[in-house]
Amino acid sequence: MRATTDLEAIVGRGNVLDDAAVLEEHSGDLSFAPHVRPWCVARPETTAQVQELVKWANATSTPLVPVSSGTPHFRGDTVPAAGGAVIVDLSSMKKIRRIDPINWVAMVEPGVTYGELQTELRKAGLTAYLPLAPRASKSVVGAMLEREPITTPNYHWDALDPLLCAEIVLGTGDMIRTGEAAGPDTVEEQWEIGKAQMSPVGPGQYDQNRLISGAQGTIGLVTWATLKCRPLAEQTRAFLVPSPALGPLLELTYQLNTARLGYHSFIVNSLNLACLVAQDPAEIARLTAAVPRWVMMFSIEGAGPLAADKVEYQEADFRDLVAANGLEAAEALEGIKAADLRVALQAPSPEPYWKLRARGGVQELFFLTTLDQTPRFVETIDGLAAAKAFPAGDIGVYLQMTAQGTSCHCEFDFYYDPAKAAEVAKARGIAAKAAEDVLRAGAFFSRPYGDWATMSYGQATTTTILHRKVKNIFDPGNILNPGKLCF
Amino acid sequence: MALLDRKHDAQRCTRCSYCKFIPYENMRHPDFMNGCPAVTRHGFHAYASGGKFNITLSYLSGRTEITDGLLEAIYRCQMDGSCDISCKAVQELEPLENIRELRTMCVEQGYGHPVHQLVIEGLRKEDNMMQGKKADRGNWLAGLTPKDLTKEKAEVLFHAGCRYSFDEELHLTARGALSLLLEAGVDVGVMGRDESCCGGQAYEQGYISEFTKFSEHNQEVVKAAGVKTIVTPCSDCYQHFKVTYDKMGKQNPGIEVLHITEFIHRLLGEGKLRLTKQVPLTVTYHDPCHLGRLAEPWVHWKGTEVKVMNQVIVHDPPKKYRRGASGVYDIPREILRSIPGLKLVEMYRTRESAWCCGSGGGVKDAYPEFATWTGNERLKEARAVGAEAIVSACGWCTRNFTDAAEESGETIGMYDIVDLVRQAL
Repeated sequence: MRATTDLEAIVGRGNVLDDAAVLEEHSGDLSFAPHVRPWCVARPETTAQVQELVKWANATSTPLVPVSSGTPHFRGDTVPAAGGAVIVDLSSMKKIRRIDPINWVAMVEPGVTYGELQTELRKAGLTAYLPLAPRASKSVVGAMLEREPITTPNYHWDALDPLLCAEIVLGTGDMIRTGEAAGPDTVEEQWEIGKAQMSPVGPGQYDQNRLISGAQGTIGLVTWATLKCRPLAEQTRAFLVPSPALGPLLELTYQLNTARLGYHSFIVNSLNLACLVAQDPAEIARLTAAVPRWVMMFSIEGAGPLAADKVEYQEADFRDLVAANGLEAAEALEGIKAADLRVALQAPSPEPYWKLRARGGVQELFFLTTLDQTPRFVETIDGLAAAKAFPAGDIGVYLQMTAQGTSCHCEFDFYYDPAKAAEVAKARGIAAKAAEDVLRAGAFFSRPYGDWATMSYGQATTTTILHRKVKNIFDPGNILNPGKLCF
Repeated sequence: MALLDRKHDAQRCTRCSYCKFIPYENMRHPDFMNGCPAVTRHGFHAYASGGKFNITLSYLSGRTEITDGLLEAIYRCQMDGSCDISCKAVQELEPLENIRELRTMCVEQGYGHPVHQLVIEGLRKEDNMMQGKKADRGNWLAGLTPKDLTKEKAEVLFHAGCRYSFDEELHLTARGALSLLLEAGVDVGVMGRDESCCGGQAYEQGYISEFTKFSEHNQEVVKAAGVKTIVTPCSDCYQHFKVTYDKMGKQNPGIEVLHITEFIHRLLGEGKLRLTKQVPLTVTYHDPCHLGRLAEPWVHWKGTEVKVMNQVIVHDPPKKYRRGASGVYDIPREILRSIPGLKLVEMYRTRESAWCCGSGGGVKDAYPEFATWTGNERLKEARAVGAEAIVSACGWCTRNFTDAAEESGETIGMYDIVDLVRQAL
């Protein structure tokens, strides 16, 4: 047994945990990643402590596995792939360092959750761009680094949005700041002259955010980040557009996107809609059966002097387009009020997390494609479910246009009861086969977790070599989350 | 090559809009940061290269038909290559190739610009892009008697080009250029009235078969005349002889292609020309697109595009890109600096970041008001740096600047570099 004295000297005695329950919690998650017990958990509270931790890890060749969000974890990225690892639990870094109501920017540490941030932003008249009902324990910084899609495609300029600047401790122990935060001037000096660490690119044309985004903590540990926010809506309208077929909703989505109409805009199947709005499995089942298979959630929001005018003209245009596609927009559907859903989208998911409500367990499959390609993937998964005798009624679908409509997050959620071994095996089987099938059909795993990484990098030898070279620059000792991606 | 070959680039365009401006590191003045005349003038994204990538993708996906608006966006473009330079600073796409392929597609589908069609008709009948008579092509020589390469042999072919041959106000410059060579004792000849268009503008406007016909004809003529070097005062012809012919496999191996400035520079270096007279003038030099960024030698690449992880397109073997840095920039400046009494001041946008004169890509014919607007933007820049005159090394630029100045009332001086050299002899 190694002594934790060195670690305690860095992060403080109370911030090194090695009791069995804590280690067990970090040795696995809801994915099927192999259980590997870490050596201990360290909870740094400052950037300097993180730097010291990394230097110590290099000196002792100890793997570090960064984690910011609380449990439950779903994708295996925070489970050690190597023995003897130290979990670097950044959830104690909980400061909201700054909210700038003029520039609509917030600066947060990795332990800050959406619930905590939204409470403070509201006081400044702002709101964050949220992923679809993140779990209550989800780190804002973690979600941004994982490129969790936000639900507002027209306000999603770049794949990295809403991430702006970040402070990163690299695998060498060096600290860098990205974008405008890199300087000139310190962050505090920038504040004094009215800057707010808004520009994400830089220094120069070099965009270091792209190194850490989607890297699953293998390149560096982020100790704070700034994010784009927007004013709270003063005028809102929200609609649900049901359709038994996906095609008309896709066409409508493209048309709305072309005209840059709306705020929230996404498509879910009836099961995922039910999971988002209902808690009780029986109610979820009732809604799933009652609502047409596909539903678009669409909202219009206005703030400022022309808020009402904006909402009015956008609603008129929206209704015209809905009608032109032979669809109907509803403010309520089987008791689901669109306005309530809109409000819910401004906050984390109430407990239990919406993906755990239907059956208690979920295996996610998500990738990038374009919206027009999604019917092909739906067909693939439908066919696979039939072949594997997986209940079609236990598959949730979420289609989220991103990056101003140029791309689409396509997600299938395989729900199952984790207490039933047969269901677990079936969910595991279909999720694995589905990943293979969609990859063959052209899916892009932009965030390859677990086995997806093996499949993706297996098709890209030169890219693997290149990624390893890059990793070697920033983490030459390969101490940051070894075993993930192609490292 | 076809529009379909540009699909991957169209998919990779991130709409960053960098194509609209000159590269950040070359920005010198807030009033002179725009790079693309088309989007600067017309505002909408469709007029920029990024918009044209969107058009390509949409058209290839069957989401867009050819409309009047689409044609306007495609033809209201000088194809000056500024977007190509800026894009490659961040994305490594080929926006200029995309615009050219769009035009070719339009022509093949019967949507050539009506004015271009008239010009091309003239080319087919009279071998020139100026709607002049073939019989008048040699008129610019007026009194000069170089070797006639239809009957004799010479080391050097002096190719005047359509603009210098048919624009009477430029005849003096063309004669001046040829005289420089004759006076320096160069074994030079011309094709006279039998000279043909290089075909380059037809290529830019989308008329590939016309380009093929004229490039092959010129290839044969050069071979028959036994010349070793082609010299032209026209930057447009120079770029096409040097770059487009090579790109399209129409280049005669071993034939040297030189712009008149390169030849003058050589003669000065050899002591065969001496610039001794004072020319007391403060001038600025305008980099013609076809002598500058577009004149960079063509980089041939054979390989395959590989899609990595179903998403990222890479080239195997890696592709080398033309980034405009190897155009002819220093030689004209060195000539100007060697003229006694002449002071050269630089504009804010120079070399590969130069603003276009406005004449290229068929704009001068199809949208003359847009051409002169673009020219006037350049003249403002010349004024802003305190120049008394603007100097170019291309007849198309000189013509358009002259027209622009007449339209705006601008009184800044206008020179072809050849004219200043002759003044200094």
